[in-house]
Amino acid sequence: MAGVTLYRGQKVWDEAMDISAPTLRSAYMPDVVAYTDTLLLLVDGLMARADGGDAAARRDLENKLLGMQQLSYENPYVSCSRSTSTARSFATGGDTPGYLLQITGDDQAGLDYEAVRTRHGLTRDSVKYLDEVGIPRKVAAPFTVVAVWLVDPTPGVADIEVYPGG
Amino acid sequence: MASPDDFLRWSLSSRDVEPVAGLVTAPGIDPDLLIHSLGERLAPVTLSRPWFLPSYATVPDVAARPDDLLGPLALDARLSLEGCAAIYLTWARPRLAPGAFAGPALAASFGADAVEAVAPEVELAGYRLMLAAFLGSLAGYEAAWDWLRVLLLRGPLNRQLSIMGFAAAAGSLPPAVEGFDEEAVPSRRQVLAAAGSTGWETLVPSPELLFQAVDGLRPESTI
Repeated sequence: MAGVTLYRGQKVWDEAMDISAPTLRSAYMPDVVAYTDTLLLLVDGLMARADGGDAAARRDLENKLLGMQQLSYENPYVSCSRSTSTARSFATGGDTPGYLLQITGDDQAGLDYEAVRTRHGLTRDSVKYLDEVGIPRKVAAPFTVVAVWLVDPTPGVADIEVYPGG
Repeated sequence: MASPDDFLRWSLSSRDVEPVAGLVTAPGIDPDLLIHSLGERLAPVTLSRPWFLPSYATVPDVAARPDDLLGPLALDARLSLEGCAAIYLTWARPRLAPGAFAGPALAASFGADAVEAVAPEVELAGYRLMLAAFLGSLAGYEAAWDWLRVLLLRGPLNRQLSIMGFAAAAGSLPPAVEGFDEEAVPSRRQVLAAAGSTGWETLVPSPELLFQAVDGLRPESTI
């Protein structure tokens, strides 16, 4: 296990909130917990079979990774990035203020999209720039939110630390 | 300008594509004929229900004669979740009210597909249509860029990033878009400038490029 530092941008935040995967927030699935667990099993299975040399699994994995980054109902991971600037651009998406979260955790416990793609030679279209790492289900041990800033896209407006210093 | 291989992978969302045997690859062929023949070869069924079109699309009239229509546009390039591909030829254009791409109407549509909880089939429709429009733009259909403008304007941030990235790679971003950084999602200002601009540099129709793209499609498609 090695430590990893990730960033995430979001529009609302408070200290008590659950930061959960899109599938857990879906309004369309009858049992979001079972659905999310099933998707995670599927991704783990595809990666294991692809690692074992299964070409069909590798192809499915390629589609699954792209699908998870484009379709919220496919994504059982909390989207984070290794890049501060990417997370900041999500926080300020739509040109309004938002929250930039710094999260630390275990580099083996998340899904590192680009590492998996590199390992298997998979295509990444422009979502490669997201440098995305997914935290399964929700931000919980071994992942911890260690700092949060309120960030504003207006030039010259300084970030405001709201956690833990707020 | 991205390479043909980049466009291929972008359009199909796959590196792992296999050639389709027997496709004619003569240069200079009319893209309409190419797509028509590919549609017959790869998907010899009548598309009776435009299930992959979002609700804001016009409903294709499959019974109409091609000459009566505005032009072929939507190519459902692949069924990505199952790793196979098809080209479906259909007839549709974005349903754009007058003024929809200007002023308050433009701004009001920003991120519309991401604001409310969107049904999975609608999300998937938008994703597939984006891929199809990438391919359509390679065939030289200006209407493909109309679709990309709609999808860009209404889309969630990741889709906005992909479309702006594709347009930048194609050298088609309108001059009104300033400072787009491919490593970050585009700002609202940039998206509105892109979606509201009529200055899109349409790709020169490129049968060769399209051939290379469709050469990678797998023939065993099912939908």
